Amino acid sequence: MKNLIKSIIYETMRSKLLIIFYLVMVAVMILLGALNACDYTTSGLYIQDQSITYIFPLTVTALVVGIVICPDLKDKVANYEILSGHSRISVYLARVLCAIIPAAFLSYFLTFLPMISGILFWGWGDRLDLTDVLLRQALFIFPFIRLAAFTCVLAFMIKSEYAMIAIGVAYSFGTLFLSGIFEEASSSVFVSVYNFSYLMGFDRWTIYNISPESGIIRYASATGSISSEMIVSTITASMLMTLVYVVLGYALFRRNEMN
Amino acid sequence: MKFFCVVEMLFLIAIIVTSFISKKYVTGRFRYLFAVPLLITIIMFIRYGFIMSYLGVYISSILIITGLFTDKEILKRSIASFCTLAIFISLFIGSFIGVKMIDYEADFEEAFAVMKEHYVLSKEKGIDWDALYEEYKPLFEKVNETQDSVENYKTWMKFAKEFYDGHTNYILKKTDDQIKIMMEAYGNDYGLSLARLSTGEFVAINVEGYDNSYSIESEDADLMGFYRYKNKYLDKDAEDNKDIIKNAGIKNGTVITKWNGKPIDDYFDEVTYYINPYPVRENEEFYLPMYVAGIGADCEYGNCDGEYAIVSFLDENGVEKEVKLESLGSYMPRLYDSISKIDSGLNITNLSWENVNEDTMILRVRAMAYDSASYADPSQYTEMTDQLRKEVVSLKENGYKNLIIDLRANEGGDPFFVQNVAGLFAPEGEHVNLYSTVINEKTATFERNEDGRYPVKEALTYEGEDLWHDGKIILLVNAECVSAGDDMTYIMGEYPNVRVIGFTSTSLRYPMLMQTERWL
Repeated sequence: MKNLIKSIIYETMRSKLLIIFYLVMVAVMILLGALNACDYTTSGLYIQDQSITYIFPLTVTALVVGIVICPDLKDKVANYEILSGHSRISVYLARVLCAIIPAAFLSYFLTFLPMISGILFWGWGDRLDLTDVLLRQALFIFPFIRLAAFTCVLAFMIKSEYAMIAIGVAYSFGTLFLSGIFEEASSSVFVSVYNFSYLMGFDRWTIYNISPESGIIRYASATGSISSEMIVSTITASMLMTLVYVVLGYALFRRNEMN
Repeated sequence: MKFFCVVEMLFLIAIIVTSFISKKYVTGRFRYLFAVPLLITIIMFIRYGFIMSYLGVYISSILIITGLFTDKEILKRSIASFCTLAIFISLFIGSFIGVKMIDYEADFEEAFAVMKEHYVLSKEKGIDWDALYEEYKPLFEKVNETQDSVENYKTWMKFAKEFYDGHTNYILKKTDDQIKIMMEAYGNDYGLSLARLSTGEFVAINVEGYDNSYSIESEDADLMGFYRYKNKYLDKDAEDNKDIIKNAGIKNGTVITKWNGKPIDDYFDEVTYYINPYPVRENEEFYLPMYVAGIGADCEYGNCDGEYAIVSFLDENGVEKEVKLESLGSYMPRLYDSISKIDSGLNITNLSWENVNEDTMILRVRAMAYDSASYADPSQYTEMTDQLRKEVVSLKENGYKNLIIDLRANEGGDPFFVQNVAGLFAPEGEHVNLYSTVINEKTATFERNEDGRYPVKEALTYEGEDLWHDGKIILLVNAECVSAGDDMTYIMGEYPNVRVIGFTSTSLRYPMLMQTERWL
């Protein structure tokens, strides 16, 4: 399995699609922070638009998983690995590990870029406590791992990296759409895309004042303290569901016709 | 929710079926059936979140995956059968327990904490938070035990009423439950509503069987959507009983002397919640009789299985008579219709005109908003003001002497709209509309002075053009003239040529407003 992992890593790191797309996303995330925090400072931006940190990285998760898994299924590299004596489980696990870990961590890294660029240009501000926000964002890794595991199941079924990109886009925009429609369910930790909005859901309060020149001016404050329930539920739900998805993926792969 | 469970069961049954035919039709695609229940469960989570009574469904969707690890068809069938049974049991349990347990008590705790921290008029309205908590906490505990959504609604409406603040209200989400709850919260329909005249007498209004009255047979749409559900709440004998009131001689305007043997105002203390908030006591007393008309004999307000009401009235000769009116169904549609008829203004577009007679025009102002650009930037009202100015000058040139500004059922909105309109009619010179106050930007709260009052920061002023100085202006208001509608009434009511008239005063949802006393 070590050799399988090495070969997958070698192949993935030479994927032009992944490198270009990821660099574009890095630029987008930096600009999001730099251009949007000017009106509010960075902490104000987090209150105004809580999804800014995770919406686009969701697409990257699906992209990385698609690039790692799908080409080798289509061009029968995985088939040859099995024929050359590797067990199905090692072929499967090698791909899943090489998909989940980079997908989760590459996406996870992107979520911090708006904060970094916002602080560099405009400062953090005093609307939220930085420690609280960092703790919430630190927990992002768990739903990203879970989402990557779920995407692996889809990748083994669909076998097309371009379809996986489309699924990634659906993750991003579907999240906003579904959270708006199903408000009651949208704080559930059992759905990974909702878990992000749950972690970034600060308790907010807004009021307005009237200025003769500017008209109605709105003010918002928020508290970012995190509860132990949030931490435990995020970690537990994510680890449990990751295990389920990995098992499901292998169960489907086990008798998959590879030729 | 049940639909998804049934679909999941069907897929499990499909797994059982395919296990019989898989030897004949050899294909790997049947394996994907094992993944579908989990995908359906994910969709259920997206739509409904986690529901404890459906735990069997969730476990089944994971357990079925184990069927993929065996090649023995009989084992696959056994696992699929077990999972199907688990879903069936979950559906059965879910039917009794209900789809979702709602933590009504936690809702109260959260909302109370937010209100206690942020409500801006605690001092001005003398709110005793500890006393309120002591009174309402046990009520919400009981609601939580019974999971009674109608009682939850009533308790919240009672709580909101404690503030006598038109901007503090409990609003249900627009779902089927909203209609169901409201249909069950306001008592029974006995074929009429009640109103009190300025003479102090109570009269029947909106009486069944007359033109221009609400009828149980009406199919007209109402804005809330009660018309879609009212037939479900009709009494089974409603068709036979609907003419009792007309046959007894009660019509619109008939004086009603007693309700269930008691003076009508004896019921006023029982009416502890309303559809709309009434911050002004006078307005509250105006609408109370309407709510009394839903209380049956031997019933409490809102908890009424009363099949009838005993109504005493004066016939055409002034003789007091009594009639037993049978329940026709839910009182909500008639109540809503009665309130809507009284609260409505002229049904024309905002800022449009209608001719009353040769020297009087009426201007409808139903909301203090022009367009999205002006709402965001007060300097963008120029187009509106220029247009209105042209129209007013043209009316003057055409010999009109009187203007009526219809502010009934005005929804409120932007104070800059108010002063741009009011400025056309204000005496020349500078006038003050409002004052802003001091805000702590970090905590988003209003600051108070050492004496506990809100300090004044900047004045919002406007220039008067006195375009109608030779003519009379009437502001037509009612209890549904709210928020910025209060503002316009207050500032224009001070002009020398303006009179304010209406069934009641405005809503007075503008917290610091002092009521004008210029009544006709």
